[in-house]
Amino acid sequence: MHLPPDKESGTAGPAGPAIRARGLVRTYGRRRALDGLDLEVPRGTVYGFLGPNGAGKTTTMRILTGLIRADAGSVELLGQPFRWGDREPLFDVGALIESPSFFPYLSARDNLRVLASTGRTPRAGRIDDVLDAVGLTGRAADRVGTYSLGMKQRLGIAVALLNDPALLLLDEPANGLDPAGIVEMRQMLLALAAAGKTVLVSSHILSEIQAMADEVAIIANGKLVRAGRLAEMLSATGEVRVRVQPEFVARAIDVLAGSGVAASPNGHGAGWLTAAVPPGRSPDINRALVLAEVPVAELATGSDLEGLFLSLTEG
Amino acid sequence: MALVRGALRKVILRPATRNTLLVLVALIALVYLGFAVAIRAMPPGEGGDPIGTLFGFPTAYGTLATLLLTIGGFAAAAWAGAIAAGEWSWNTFRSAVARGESRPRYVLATLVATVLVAFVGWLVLLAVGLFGTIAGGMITGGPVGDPGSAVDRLPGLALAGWWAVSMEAAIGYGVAFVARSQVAGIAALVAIYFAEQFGSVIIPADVLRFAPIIAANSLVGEWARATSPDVLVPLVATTAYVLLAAGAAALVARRSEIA
Repeated sequence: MHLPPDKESGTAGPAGPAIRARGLVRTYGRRRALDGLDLEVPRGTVYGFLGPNGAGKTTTMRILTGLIRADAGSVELLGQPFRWGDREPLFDVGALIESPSFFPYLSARDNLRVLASTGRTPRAGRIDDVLDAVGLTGRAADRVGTYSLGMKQRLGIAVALLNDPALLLLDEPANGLDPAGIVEMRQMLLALAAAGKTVLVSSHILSEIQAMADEVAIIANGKLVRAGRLAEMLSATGEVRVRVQPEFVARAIDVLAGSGVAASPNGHGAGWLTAAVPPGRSPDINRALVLAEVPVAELATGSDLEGLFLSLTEG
Repeated sequence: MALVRGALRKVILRPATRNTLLVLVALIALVYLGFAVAIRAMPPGEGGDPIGTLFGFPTAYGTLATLLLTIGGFAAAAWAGAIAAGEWSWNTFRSAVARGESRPRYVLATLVATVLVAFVGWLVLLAVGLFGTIAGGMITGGPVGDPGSAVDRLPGLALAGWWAVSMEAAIGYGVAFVARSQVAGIAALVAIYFAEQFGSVIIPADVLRFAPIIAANSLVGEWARATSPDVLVPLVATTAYVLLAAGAAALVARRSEIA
């Protein structure tokens, strides 16, 4: 997946972040899906948008694309105020919300032609470019109804790219993609961000977000619980994970406690311990355990996004 | 225009468009062939009235138009309802809105494309029906009159029939879009049809002539049968129903949230 941008559009529109949402509230019946959500996505980044099921990610995406109304709060897209029913700000936004949607009886190319007739008309030749970018040129004449989930997902990404948007909103874009497709997609999104585009990606594949996002926002119960640069967030909540044989767990905890390191079993499986210390202390932990004749089977330095995510969203 | 062109692409290439037309062509051909064969099998002298009504020009124009409108109208409502409901079930309406397209514009462009394609379908059915009439007349061997005797009515009949079918398609489309269900679209037209039939018992004719299907039949019937057709009332009534269906779909589209 490679697509040279038509324009360096990171600065498209007035100054300001790519997305600024303030106090978004949305209720479905008695359930409050968004409860005063604040979100600010800087331009030119791949921005991870994380949260457990039902946290409000898709509701946020729907509000940002004008599909549903917010009960309260305000939204700016690319520096322009955006309200429900506004059209123009969306001309610079490409979106893939939930599952991709197409006419199953039309070919990929015809689906893109139909969609290209809506909103702002893309430049001539753009359809071929996006088909090529997502690797569907060879199947462009086939009916979409015959496509696999992964191919539909690729086509959904092609639709999102159709207008060479300055802002991409991608809801679970890796759904159905094979490993090679996931790598290609990641490279394409990073290339788009390098060209000044902004990419907001929601995904349940946290390792994927960790591999490509510069910044992340984590939401739970319709509220923002943490946002910022991913590297800083992870280093601030560093941890070292150690795996010993299960019969050595109690001894390992005692040894580490003697070294001033509080360790406890974690949820990764039998024998795994987690010590909430900066990753730089992993050699000390390793040395202490080996000197105490506790065999270390595995040692993972640094924190991971999964641990951070769970610590922020559980409970 | 680009929006209507895009809508035409999705309507024309839809398998239901081709299949609906093929079924109707087969049905019309079968009706005329069946009647022709049945009349030929009757003893001499007994098939007179059916021959005149079905195969005798210029009366046959009126019979053909009524037959096409009755069968074609319900088919058009079901077809247009499928087009409208498909926008919801396939979430393609959502894709267009997320690209910044105006909801009402999108819905109306699709209806315009539906009505334009219906015109082509109506012309095809009219041609098949005329061929069936002439061929059926030849099979029966009875006097069929001169097909050219009222040929000057054909352009008006083509336009009036198209508009009448378009009205029924628009009702199917509008109801299906509002209800997000193809079944609702066809059910609405069937309900109107029965309501008009039963309503004719208690509602005065000068009121009932404004009813949708009666107005559509009247519009076509005037062009088919009258030498100087009076189409003002049925034309205004059918146009009003087209606008009403389009307006309802556009209004609902404008206010709809899309999950």
